[in-house]
Amino acid sequence: MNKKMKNLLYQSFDTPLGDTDRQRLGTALDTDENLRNERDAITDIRQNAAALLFEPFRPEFTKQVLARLLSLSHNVTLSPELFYASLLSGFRKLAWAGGLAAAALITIHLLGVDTLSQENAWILSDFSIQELLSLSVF
Amino acid sequence: MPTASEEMIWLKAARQGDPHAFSQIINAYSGKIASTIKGMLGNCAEAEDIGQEVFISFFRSIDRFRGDSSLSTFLTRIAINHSLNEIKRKKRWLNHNNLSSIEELEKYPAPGESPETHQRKEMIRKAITSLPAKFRSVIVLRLIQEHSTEETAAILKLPLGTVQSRLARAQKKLKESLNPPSGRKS
Repeated sequence: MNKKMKNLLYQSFDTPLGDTDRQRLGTALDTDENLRNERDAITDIRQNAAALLFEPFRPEFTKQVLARLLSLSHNVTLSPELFYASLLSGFRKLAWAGGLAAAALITIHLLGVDTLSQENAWILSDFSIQELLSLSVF
Repeated sequence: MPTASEEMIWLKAARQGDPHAFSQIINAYSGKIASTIKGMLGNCAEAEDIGQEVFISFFRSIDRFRGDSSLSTFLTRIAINHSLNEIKRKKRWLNHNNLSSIEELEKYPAPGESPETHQRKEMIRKAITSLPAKFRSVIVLRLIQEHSTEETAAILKLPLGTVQSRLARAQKKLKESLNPPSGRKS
């Protein structure tokens, strides 16, 4: 089976083909039995899929949603826990972003120095202990 | 299906907290949402809970619905997203519990059909729920719910070309699982 014709066949189920492509596909279908089998198999799948029935939700579904909505609206206005939980999750995201940014800065710095050392990683090599202490005082 | 003007009236009332309007929206769209979720997940026990979540998510964010798409499209998009989350959750659970397939969680009722038709439909239903999630969503929307490819692309927020190629690949996968190569005519 010609791969191009097979692709055109699949395309034809969902997109209107141009005149040339439609003619090429028609000719290929007339001469290629495998392509016809492929078309029949896909048509069968599509027809059966369209005929699939799904049971609706139970009759009390609407009442249950309304009851949940009502209870949720009470919980949201009364519960400070939800507020603190969302605040905490916001801080977590911020901490992760900060950590990643610090790691990226250290990596960039390490790529720019000649030797890899812990001092270089923390950008300490240019300072003496006394200088660092004086920086922390001011 | 409700008309656009009916939808507008319900939405306006629902935004003001009218429970009767909520009920009307749920009643009008619960059938479609049920078939979307059950198409994606099979007739599983969680389908109804996810259906509830869909409507609750919608009502909680009703002010963000600007009417760029129809209400039906908007709700279907929420249903697809919730179903995709459920598929991820189930996969994690299955991996954690060393189970091999999502099928093991799903049960199908016996509808009043001829055994042959029922068997064929069950095979197709099972083949659809075995597809990877990204293919399953296009099959459910295009083949089961019979949305156009453009509508499917709008619901999934995907380019039209992506939807077309996923549809072709999904149908090839379905055909392979329903008619394995050894059974093909030469």
